[in-house]
Amino acid sequence: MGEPSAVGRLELPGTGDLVAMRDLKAALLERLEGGQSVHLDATHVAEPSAALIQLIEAAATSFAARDLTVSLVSPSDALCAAYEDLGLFGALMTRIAVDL
Amino acid sequence: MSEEEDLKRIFFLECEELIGNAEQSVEALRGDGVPTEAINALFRAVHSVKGGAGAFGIEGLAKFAHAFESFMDRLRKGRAELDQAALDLLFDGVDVLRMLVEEARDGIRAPQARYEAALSGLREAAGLEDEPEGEQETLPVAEAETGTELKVPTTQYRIRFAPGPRLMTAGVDPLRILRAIKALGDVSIEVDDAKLPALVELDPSVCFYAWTITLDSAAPRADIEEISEMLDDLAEIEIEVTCEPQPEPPPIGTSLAVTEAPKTAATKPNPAAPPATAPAASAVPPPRRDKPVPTVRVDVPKLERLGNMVGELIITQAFLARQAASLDADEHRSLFRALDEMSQHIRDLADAATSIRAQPLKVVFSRFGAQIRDLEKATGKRIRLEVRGDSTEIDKTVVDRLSEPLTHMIRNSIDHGIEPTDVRIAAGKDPVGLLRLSAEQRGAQVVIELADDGGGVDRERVLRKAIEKGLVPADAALTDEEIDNIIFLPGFSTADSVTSISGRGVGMDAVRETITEMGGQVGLVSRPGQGTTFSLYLPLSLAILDAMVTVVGRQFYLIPTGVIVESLRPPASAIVRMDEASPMLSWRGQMVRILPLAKEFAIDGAVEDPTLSILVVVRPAGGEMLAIQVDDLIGQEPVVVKSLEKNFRKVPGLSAATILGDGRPALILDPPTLGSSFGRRRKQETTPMLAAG
Amino acid sequence: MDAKRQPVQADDSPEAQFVSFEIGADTFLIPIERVVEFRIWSEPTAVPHTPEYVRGIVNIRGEIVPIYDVAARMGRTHTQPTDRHVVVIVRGEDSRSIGLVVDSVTDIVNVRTSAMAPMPKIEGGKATPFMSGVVFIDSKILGVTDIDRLVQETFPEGEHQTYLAPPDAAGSR
Repeated sequence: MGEPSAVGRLELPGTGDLVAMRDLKAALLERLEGGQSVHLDATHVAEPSAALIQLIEAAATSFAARDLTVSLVSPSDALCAAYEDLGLFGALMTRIAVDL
Repeated sequence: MSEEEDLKRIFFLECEELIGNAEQSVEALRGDGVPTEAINALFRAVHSVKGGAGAFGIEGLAKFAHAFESFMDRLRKGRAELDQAALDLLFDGVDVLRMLVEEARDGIRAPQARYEAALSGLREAAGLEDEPEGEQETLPVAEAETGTELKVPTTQYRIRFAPGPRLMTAGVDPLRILRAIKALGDVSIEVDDAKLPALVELDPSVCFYAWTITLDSAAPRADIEEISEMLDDLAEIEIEVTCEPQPEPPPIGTSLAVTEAPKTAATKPNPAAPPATAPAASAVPPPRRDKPVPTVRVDVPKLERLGNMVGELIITQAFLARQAASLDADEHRSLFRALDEMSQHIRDLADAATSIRAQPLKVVFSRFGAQIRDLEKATGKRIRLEVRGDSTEIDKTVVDRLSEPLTHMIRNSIDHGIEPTDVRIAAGKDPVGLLRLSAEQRGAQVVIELADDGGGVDRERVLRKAIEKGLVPADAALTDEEIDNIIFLPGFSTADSVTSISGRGVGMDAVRETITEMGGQVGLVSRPGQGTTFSLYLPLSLAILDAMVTVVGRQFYLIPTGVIVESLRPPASAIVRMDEASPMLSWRGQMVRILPLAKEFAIDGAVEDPTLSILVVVRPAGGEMLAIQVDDLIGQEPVVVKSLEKNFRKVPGLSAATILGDGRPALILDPPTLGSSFGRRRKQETTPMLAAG
Repeated sequence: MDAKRQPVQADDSPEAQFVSFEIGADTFLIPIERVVEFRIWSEPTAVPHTPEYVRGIVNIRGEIVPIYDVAARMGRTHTQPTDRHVVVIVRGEDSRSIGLVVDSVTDIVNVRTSAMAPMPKIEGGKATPFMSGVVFIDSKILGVTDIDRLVQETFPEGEHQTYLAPPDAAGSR
């Protein structure tokens, strides 16, 4: 799809229910195939789930394999707490976008 | 109730405790003395609240607690000064913390402006302004002690949790499971992401993670296994005990250091920085721990049932005693001995049941510091609060209900008692007014006193207002004491006085009502120019009251023994008649008004001649001394108090009802409202609306 | 009775059940869902400073329940109840219970809602404010007791419970 454009932005849904996860995966795949890094706006994530975090992390790995990044922008406290409770605090630290 | 709701409920209970501790700590900081202990205690309390809030995803509370904790951290490291501004921040912080907990628990929104002001103040003081609000700076956990854990031995478990493919589609979020485990004690969590596929192959509805959790918990093994049972075959859970109970839970820092290094082979570069920095040498010495007292949590409904059962036992025992009374004591010696013993055991049981429900008053008292500061600002007066005896214990349900009346009383004292600063200086008093709140157990009662060194009751003003409102006849000749007690009359509280807290009745009549409902009494003593002292007399046990059973006509009436001074059959010489209508008893040099219960309650068939009846001399708090005339005394017994107002209506002269051993209700007198001297009889109730058909 | 008032037996209208009781020569009804139990009369504990038609309180399984003399409330000369009288324990909307002293309980009747009507406006007759409606049965009109009203009356709300008489208080009994 040509040159990697400016970083794409996706807003994460408020809850991590499985239906929303399918949509999110599709959106992420689209960006991946388009060669576009993604900023995930996590300000409004109120009820995160393991499914959501798993998806973000899997995406991060797959993007990294193509030298692209998946970053979290202003993660809500709920999302941070969820990362921590899943034992993925370190991953969170890596995931948070620093240059905004 | 779902598991998570259950855990949440426990969390909220714990928050109550934590915030209570926080309030105490802040109050302690106000006084003299080394603040280190209080600062550390406050830090621990806030830290615990933050932890729990995070676990349950209570965002606002976690965020606020985080800022608060950061500030506390600075304070205890000496990087910030504990000046007045800091103190104010702390006071505010604890208030808002409480409000946020209530918001999360009850849904009552905390005032937004106040929250934001406190939050930004704390963030600034903590040096957090430059960080985005969402980021959690984790503090070296080793230094942070969660000091309010259950002080019981803990067992260490290793739990392996591997969700199966159908777990998430079955509606179970692994996050919830992990949090449920986390709520059982201290955990450290390792995640195994070896099976996480590439994005394109990922089925988002299947969980590919697995976890190994090290749990230090005091909870019964059954609780932990319950989690496993709930999941059935949707996930694999293996629970292994790795360490038997120890006398004290190991500090969190230790267990983290041991298990933190992630052992799993990461398939992607994932520099998992351990959340805890090197615990190493912490400069803060571990706080002194008292020998831990084993504690348990008990649901209040269970306690109430226990209390009720003890109450029923007491009634049955009274019944037995009555039946036995008709037997010949000599013939049934062993029976009587056994009954006596049983009676003693039951008294002991009642005492024990009472003490289980008892809580120290400091739970209530500790809140007033903040309120008084608010009132200081609102009135411009300067107030100092002294608290004594706050470790005195009283029934939990009483404690819960005391907050409101005490708040009213404090407001009343500050509004009407303590004079404005300039007036005080002119009178040669300390410009800072003193409020002393004290509690003490006296026999079967707890006495709570609120004394101020203000100007006392303004009797002229009170009397004038009472006459204006028609509460008192214009020509009434009242003693000073009677005037003082006018403030307890319903209808007296004025609109220009304090705003009501809960929208119910304002003022001292509401206080009196609440206290009487609890089976207690309120009184006051006022010295003009010097101050006023309010006294609350509360039964140690809410439900069980010690009473003297008397009989009038064919009805039983009970008088709380707490107010009885003496009972006697008076000689004719002790009866003095001022006029036909009001006989008086000459008693120990005093004239005491005789109140014939029969006349007061329109009872037929009672003994009329005082010299043939019994006079029970009572000295109630907040009322005049009376000699209640009854036919006879039956005996003294503990009775279970049943609310009259709840089941029927409020009746002047009565405080409550009870069920006697014969199964019939009997009425319990309320001496302060018996025969009040301002005119006793109510107008007759509305007559039937139609002519008899 | 006016022929027009005869209820039309619309057979598919749902039925409601009532308990019927008698006071003197009159029969009244109570919706059955409001009836908790029946008891034989026994002397309640009298409570002072209460109207004559409140006879006192009794103990029902550990709870205090006030007893209400319906006849007295309706202004009839009330005789002293004996153990041949019945007390019907009823429950108001707000779950508070009271006991009603009646002469006897006669029956349980099923009534079609088509036979029920709100309180008719009858001038100066026997219609009392304690009836919430009427029911037509067998060419008779029977009143349905307004339980909530009675319960409310037994438990007066609000400030008119001051125990201070206004300054004229010269023994107004």
